[in-house]
Amino acid sequence: MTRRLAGSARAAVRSGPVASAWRSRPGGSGSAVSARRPRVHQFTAVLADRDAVGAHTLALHRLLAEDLGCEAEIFAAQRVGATRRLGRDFRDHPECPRPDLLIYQASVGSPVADYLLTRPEPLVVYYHGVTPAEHFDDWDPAMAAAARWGRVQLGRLGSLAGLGLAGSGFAASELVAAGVGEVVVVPPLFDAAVWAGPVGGAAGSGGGAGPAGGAGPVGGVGSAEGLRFGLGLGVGPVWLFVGRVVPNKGFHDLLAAFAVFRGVWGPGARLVLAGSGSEGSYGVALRGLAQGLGLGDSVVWAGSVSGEVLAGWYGAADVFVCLSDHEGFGVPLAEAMGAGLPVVAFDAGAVAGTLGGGGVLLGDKSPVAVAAAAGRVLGDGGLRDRLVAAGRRRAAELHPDRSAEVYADALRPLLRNP
Amino acid sequence: MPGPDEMDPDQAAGSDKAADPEAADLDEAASGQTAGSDEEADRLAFARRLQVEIEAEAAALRRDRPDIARLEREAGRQWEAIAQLDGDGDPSRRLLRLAERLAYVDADVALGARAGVRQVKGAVRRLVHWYLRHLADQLNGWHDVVVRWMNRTDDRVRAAEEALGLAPLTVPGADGEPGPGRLELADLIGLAPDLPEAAADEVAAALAATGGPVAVLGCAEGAVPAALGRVGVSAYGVDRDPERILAGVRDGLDLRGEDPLTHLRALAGGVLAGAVLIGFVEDLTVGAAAAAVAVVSGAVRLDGAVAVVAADPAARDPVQRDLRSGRGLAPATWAHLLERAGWTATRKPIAAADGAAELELILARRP
Repeated sequence: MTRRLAGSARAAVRSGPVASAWRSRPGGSGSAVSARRPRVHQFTAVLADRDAVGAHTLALHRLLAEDLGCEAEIFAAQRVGATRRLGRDFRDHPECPRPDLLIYQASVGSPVADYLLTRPEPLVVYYHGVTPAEHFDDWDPAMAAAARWGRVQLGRLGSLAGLGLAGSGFAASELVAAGVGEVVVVPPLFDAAVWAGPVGGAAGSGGGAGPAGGAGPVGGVGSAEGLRFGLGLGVGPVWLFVGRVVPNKGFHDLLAAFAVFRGVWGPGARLVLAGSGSEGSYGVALRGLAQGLGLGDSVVWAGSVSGEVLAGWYGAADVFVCLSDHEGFGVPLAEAMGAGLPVVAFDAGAVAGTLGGGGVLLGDKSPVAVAAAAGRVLGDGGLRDRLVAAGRRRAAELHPDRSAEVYADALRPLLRNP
Repeated sequence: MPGPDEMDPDQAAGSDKAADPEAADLDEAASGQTAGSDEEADRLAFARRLQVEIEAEAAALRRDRPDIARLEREAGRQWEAIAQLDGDGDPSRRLLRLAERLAYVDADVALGARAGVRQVKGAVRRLVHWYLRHLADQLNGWHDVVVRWMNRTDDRVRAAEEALGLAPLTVPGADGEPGPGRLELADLIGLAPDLPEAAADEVAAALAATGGPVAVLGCAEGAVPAALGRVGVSAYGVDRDPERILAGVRDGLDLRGEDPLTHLRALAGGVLAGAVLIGFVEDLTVGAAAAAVAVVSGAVRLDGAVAVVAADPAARDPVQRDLRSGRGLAPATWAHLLERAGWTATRKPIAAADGAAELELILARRP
């Protein structure tokens, strides 16, 4: 599968060989010839586990080192959690042997980007999407400032980057606007183990194995019912959403819609929210809203969870509901489709492109409309089967193994003759 | 209500796609979807039909279930109240959120661009200056006490060595040569001479009515305590230079080697009938002079008297003016300080030693 975009899609997004559009930066090392392995240094603002950017950076690192034979290293401004030892502080980079290629994982403002602006080596920017700062203005001024900074830096990096990579057409259009000459759309790399799930897709009517196949990480549970019992979810319908607790993810809309759903389809329903960051002012406000709406214990604040537990939630839920106002790609959408979970999502940012017809797309996220959509999916077996099948097909297109081929095709020409 | 197949395809389009058709094109191209295939056409038609059916269900719910429509409105109202700073939510939470928003300092925005920052910075700078000044004063005071104590210890050790006929122990310099001795101002300008006997008698006469005890602070060789003794007043002397008092001690005078101000501070209130400040007052700073007046006022009882013997600093010769550690206070200033402390002061000139500056006796009593 080739995702390098055809010229007909947009003039700035070319379909020709990447190397033909490559612009060496002053002082670049593109003409040097030696027998050593290409040296590629990846940079990211934060290297953390249980984070989409962190997972993508680590997966690309493995691809570079193992499949493309590079000397690969990761540099970050912050390193958090178990992945700390896998990266180095970017302030140490000037003392490292000079690389042949730099790759920047752009997602938020960071001193890393300012440092890269001073480097002469060829630069590739992977754009994960910067959330519009307006979403944070009322809740997290620091995050709002970081988002604005990230957009300023993207504009500066755009003219220097010889190649842009983006997870969606939505993100690619921002890269093109930033002045990147050549853009390739390729999904981010993520851990597809959750697709195997604890019940191998049994929660869906298809009953087949997940795209990745094989036994699930907690396969001993055996059935969706057993899993739900183990997680204390009861027998009512279960909504699931996975994402950081930040305003642009629309958690408040989700709570309102779920309250209406409970009012129509019964109080036994549960809403599971998995993701970090619920301790901030937005998270506190959400808990106040949940209390005010009388949701009580029907909302499960799962917090940040491991891959195994996440697979359990995907296996136990009945529908994945996403009401985000902005997504650069939406890895949980892909995970949900791959896990055989029907998806109901509000059409914003890259959501439509990521779903690719694999879920119900809503143009209106009023609580009653969302509740009606979820109720329809849960109550119509035929619709559910069709959505699960479409989701699996789309998930297969987004599978990291297929994306890895696109990355290799895009990067290989830049790694010749280091 | 239109049916699923009657829906205008543009109405079914998502908000972002409608807003950014180029992004939608890119997504379509990226996913390999082609609207021309039958399968894709079926998919789009199905999606549109489903969307219309869901919207119809939602409309029916709002129409047929007033409780659900009310719940939807209530959810929106509650979130608006929680989310808006000016809403009717918890006031303390609104205040905290407002503080959180205003307290954040954006690294990309110059501080000067924020209203009121200049005034805040000025206040912070003044507070820091006040605090550092306080710390510096504390350190200087502590340093002064320690150095003075070391000097006095050194003086006593040296006096003991001389009395026993021992060679003084010196600290060698870095090059192995004997280090330089302590620089004494007295070595450069000489010690201020004690009062001549006639002047001492004048001071004693002024304090004779107190009956004693009288403390002579800065007594030097002991001329004033001796004069007080001659008029039958119980008196003792205090001087920071232990060498100067040795002769008087041998003559049977009660002279003590101690810092006069430290001695005064150690006294209980009102234990003295009178006090004489002489000699050391020429070396005091302004602050120390004011402190000396305050301390001596506490130590002398209500019907007692305080005498200060001082020369006019303007009358000092240039060498004295340059090399003395304190700048000295004029007799009029001493009188002023005493009057501010509740005394009534009178001044009169007294005879000084030959070659010394003219002296005045400032005698203070409480009204």
